[in-house]
Amino acid sequence: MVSDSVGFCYDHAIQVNMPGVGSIRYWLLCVGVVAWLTLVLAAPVARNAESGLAPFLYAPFASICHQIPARSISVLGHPMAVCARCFGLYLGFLLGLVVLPHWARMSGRLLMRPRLLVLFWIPLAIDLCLPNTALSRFVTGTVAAFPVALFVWIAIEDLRLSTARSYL
Amino acid sequence: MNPQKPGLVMPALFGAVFLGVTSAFPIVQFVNCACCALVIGGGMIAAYLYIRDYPQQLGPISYGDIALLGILTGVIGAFIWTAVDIPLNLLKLQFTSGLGGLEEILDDPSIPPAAREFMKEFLIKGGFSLAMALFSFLVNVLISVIFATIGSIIGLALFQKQSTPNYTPPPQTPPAPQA
Repeated sequence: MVSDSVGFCYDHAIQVNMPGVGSIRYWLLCVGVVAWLTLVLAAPVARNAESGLAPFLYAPFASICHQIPARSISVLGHPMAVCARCFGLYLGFLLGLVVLPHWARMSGRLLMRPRLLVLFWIPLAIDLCLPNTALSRFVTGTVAAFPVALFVWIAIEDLRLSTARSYL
Repeated sequence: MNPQKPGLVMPALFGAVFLGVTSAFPIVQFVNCACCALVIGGGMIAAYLYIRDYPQQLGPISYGDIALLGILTGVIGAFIWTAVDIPLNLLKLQFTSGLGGLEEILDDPSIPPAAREFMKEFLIKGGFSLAMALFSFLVNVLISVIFATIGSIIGLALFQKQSTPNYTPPPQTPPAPQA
């Protein structure tokens, strides 16, 4: 058993179950992320259907992604609303949200040593510096966002608990 | 005297000014294309300032507090972003109409047709409208709130002193003795 300067036992921490998983809040967050991904995927579908909605689906993502067609994954012959790396980041976030709360050992370690997050960003940083492919951009993006979802979920739960406490 | 939590407004304001001004400023705004770095950066700056002023005697900062700070940063940042963006866009429109030859530039075959169509629609034909400004503001609010909150949460994970875990697991009941 390992303990740090405040006497916290990691063997205890890594057996922790995530609070609130399976609650309506959790599913709402999952639905929100799925909706975000759907918007990304809907843009090329709308453009393929020559719908007037297409510019309104591409435009919001233009301020957060370069949208270069050569660096984006194509759907029905049209690029997604974001590049392969951004799509990987969003998908990685969703994966993290679904997987990490059920992976007690990994989430416990991450919450006890939050700076471990940096390890997940190293592949993305290396990929940025080297000649890369669509697959490498997508995969490193997915890996980078995977652990972030856990912290976002903890923050939401924490916010709910502190709000509930303030009404007591 | 008991130490008190620092206010959320000042760190949020600093983060929001960074987020809003850089995200609207021409050329600099393209940094956002790298994983929304400027908006996430605004959230991280706010988190850093909050952590710096937070008295250690109060124990670890909760992720809930920092999420609230991120939301506040995002909302203020979206207002600043839009406020800086609109006059800059108007200026850009005047500049492009003064050039006159922008349509010729856009007719360059090396520009992807989709991008050409989009730019023509917004720069030449569309111009500035209240509906466009409102749409742009709503998009800015959504993006700022989401990514500044993520930025501030990441900021807490990185800048918080490691000796004080932010997450305290609930006490576990020992397993029942086997018969």
